[in-house]
Amino acid sequence: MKFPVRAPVSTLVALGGGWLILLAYIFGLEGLRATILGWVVLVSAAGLLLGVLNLAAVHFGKLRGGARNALYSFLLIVSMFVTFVVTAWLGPEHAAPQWVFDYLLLPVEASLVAVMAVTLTFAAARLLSRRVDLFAILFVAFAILTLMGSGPLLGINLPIVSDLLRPWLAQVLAGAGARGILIGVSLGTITTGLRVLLAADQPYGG
Amino acid sequence: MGSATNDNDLPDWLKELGPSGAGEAPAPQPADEGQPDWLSAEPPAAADSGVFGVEPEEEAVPDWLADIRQAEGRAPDEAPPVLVPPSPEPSEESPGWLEPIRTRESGSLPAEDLEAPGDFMDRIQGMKGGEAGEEDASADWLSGLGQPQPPAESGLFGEESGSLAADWLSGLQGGPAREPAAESLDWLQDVGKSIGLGAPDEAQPGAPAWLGDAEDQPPAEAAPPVPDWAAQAAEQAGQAVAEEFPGLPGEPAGTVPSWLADIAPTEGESESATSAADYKEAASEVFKIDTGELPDWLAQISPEDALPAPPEEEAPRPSPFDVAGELAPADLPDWLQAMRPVATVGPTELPEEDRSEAERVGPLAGLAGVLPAEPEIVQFGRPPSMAAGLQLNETQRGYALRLGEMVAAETAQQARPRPPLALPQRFVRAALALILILAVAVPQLLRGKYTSLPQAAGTRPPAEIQAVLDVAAGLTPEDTVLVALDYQPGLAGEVETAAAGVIDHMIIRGARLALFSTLPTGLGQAEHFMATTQRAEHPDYLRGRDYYNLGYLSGGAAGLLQLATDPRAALPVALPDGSSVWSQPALAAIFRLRDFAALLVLTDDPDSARAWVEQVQPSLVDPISGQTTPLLVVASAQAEPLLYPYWQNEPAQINGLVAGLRGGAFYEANIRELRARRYWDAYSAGLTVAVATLLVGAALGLSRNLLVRRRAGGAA
Repeated sequence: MKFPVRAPVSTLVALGGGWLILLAYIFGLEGLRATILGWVVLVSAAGLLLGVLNLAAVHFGKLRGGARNALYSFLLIVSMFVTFVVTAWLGPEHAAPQWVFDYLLLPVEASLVAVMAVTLTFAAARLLSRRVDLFAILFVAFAILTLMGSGPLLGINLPIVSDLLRPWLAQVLAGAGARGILIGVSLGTITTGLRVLLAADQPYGG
Repeated sequence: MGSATNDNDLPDWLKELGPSGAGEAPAPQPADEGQPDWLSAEPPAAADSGVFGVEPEEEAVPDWLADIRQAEGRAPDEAPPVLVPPSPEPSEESPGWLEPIRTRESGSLPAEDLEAPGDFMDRIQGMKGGEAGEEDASADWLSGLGQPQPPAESGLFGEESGSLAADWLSGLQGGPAREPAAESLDWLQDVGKSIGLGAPDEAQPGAPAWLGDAEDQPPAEAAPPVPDWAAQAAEQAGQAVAEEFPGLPGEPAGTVPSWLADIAPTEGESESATSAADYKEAASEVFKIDTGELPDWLAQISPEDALPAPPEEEAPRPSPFDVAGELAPADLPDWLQAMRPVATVGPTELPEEDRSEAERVGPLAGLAGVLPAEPEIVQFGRPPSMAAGLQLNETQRGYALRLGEMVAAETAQQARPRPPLALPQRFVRAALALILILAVAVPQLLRGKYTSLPQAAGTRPPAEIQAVLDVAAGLTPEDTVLVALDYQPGLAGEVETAAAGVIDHMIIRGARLALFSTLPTGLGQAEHFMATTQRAEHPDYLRGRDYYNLGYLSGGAAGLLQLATDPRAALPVALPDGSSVWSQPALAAIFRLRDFAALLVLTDDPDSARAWVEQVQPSLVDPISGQTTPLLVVASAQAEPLLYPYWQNEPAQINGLVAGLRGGAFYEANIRELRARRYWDAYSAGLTVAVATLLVGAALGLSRNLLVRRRAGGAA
């Protein structure tokens, strides 16, 4: 017989942890707060390890199922296993794991960002050919002005653009928008915290 | 006519038959039309002798009458004091219904048994009907009903109109006395022959006389004069009465009896035979309405439009007794046809073959037509399915289709015309990538310094960069700086280049570094950073002595909070010899974050920088002295707008900010030229190509889009 214990247990754990941390802040219970935070850090590290194992299991399942992209799953599992064994055996400060990082992980991710730079440039150039309205024109205009003020063009610094216009765009207009976003995020964080503490929201499987 | 004129002397039943009963008496019409047959015709039979008081064919006084006279003490030729009903015929010749009359007149019945005149007439009718019972008289009048009724006989609103309705109504007013008698046809024929008019059945055999009278009512002007045969019959009756009752005063010959004159045709009955012109005029008078009070649509309708077609002028129908004319067939209206007796529809209407086919099996074997089969009713097989949908005509179906098309047009998504591309995207994209790679790679390969740094000589960098310069410049060899490397490897080129000058400045100042990361890749990221940016400039700056790699801090924001609370517990790192890293000379004095000389965060994510500000920055403020450990941020250019508000706050939550390659270039311009200077030319070339691409692409796209719109407008 199956008892529905998952929802109430997870909800009670979430509520208990939240209320304990909040009460520790209010009453200055630094020891209790540090202990709970230590548990959270350990659980997070264990969660990361579980995530790696889940990823390996998913791709192993694809490899057994003979999926169309099973080759990529095979490469992922092999790479993961080799890196894990080498790092665990030799240590993270060894030259071998660092080689993997320097010559495999970092170039691949940097290449993706480089491709993204080309794609964004091309998409911005084609924007007005697909859509002509006020916001599209403003987007292209501000992108050009920001790039022109971010560095010298053909070795020449544009005095007004780089000294006045670009800082005004990045720090006033964009800063105003950023402040609005931050205020909204703060209000949302407070609301979400209160709802979780009052069990109005149960994002932990409740 | 030998009827008595003194009303006081008349018996009651005769008074009721006289003018006093005009209200219910038949309309005074010509004797051959308006009056019942048995009343209007020459009364050769005993049935009519009661009314006229004559017995034309009786030669001698009957015995019962003689007995009455003797009982009264009068002579046989003496006139009686009162009107004596006509002497009945011998019982073997007279109808049975006359027997009570004779009995009553002879005084054999008691006074209480004398019924009222109306009852008397009912009884007469009943007895006559009983005698006429199963004879073919009903068939005769039914055959007359079977004749179609011409439309001209229809009334204004479908009622019986004209003379016909008035006549049969007058017949009803006449009461039972107008009911036809079967035997009356015979004596009526005799009467007609005797007066030289011919028999009625010569005009229309089989038709009842009263119906013929109703259909062939002549115009009103023919009513007052008495026909000759009636006058002759009345004269003969008068002579007979005079012979029988010599003392009775007689009416002038040739005049209509007074009681008959009282039931002369009314004005309405006389108008029933008006012409078609009179009919139209009367109809227009009926619907004469003030059109000013009506709406226009109603005023446009003339009374003639609302009325049925007026009866056409037709020749007056000949009387059934008119020997010169033909007997017109009776017209039966539809409503009367529907009321025909069911008995007229019988097995005789079944097909001959159905009745003649004999049953072969079963209890009806050998019989034909007992239970006739009806193949049209008995159906074999599956019954037809009845359509449950709406029965729509063409117009309604057309409306439904139009409505469906309108709804479909509203909900349909209009395909947006895609502007044609001048060049294949793949080719343009590859060309753009090639140009960008060349623009960035060529300056790197040339290793020239073609472009000056952004800060001109003798000028100050931006304030946020200057703040970092000031903090780094204030470090001493005893200070330890906590460095967090929270950026992805993909953006390592930008962030490390921007931070290279800052770290170089700190190393120059002799500060020791404690490196860690909140990302799993942070451990390798730290070693990569030190190896690629500082090892060439500071080859003797060694790990484990000058800088420490504290590894990965898990938990995200919670890990940062734990770090702010207890850094030693958050980053428990053991050296190869087994000792704790926190036992090293550079970290031995560090128990809280504010014990570090400064915190430097290298990040490409604004959210990561926000977590540092929210979770760690408050713990950098000394609650006693109020001094704040500086929180410096080196970020990617894309995170600058979101981090700048923390720098602008008062007090500032970020004490210095270096953003992007441009910020690194500013920083190196004030210290020494390192990686930012090396990449500055390539950065400038790539930036120029990107701006040019955007300008050209925007110009081409805008012009082409406008051209397409103009063509579309022209085509429209």
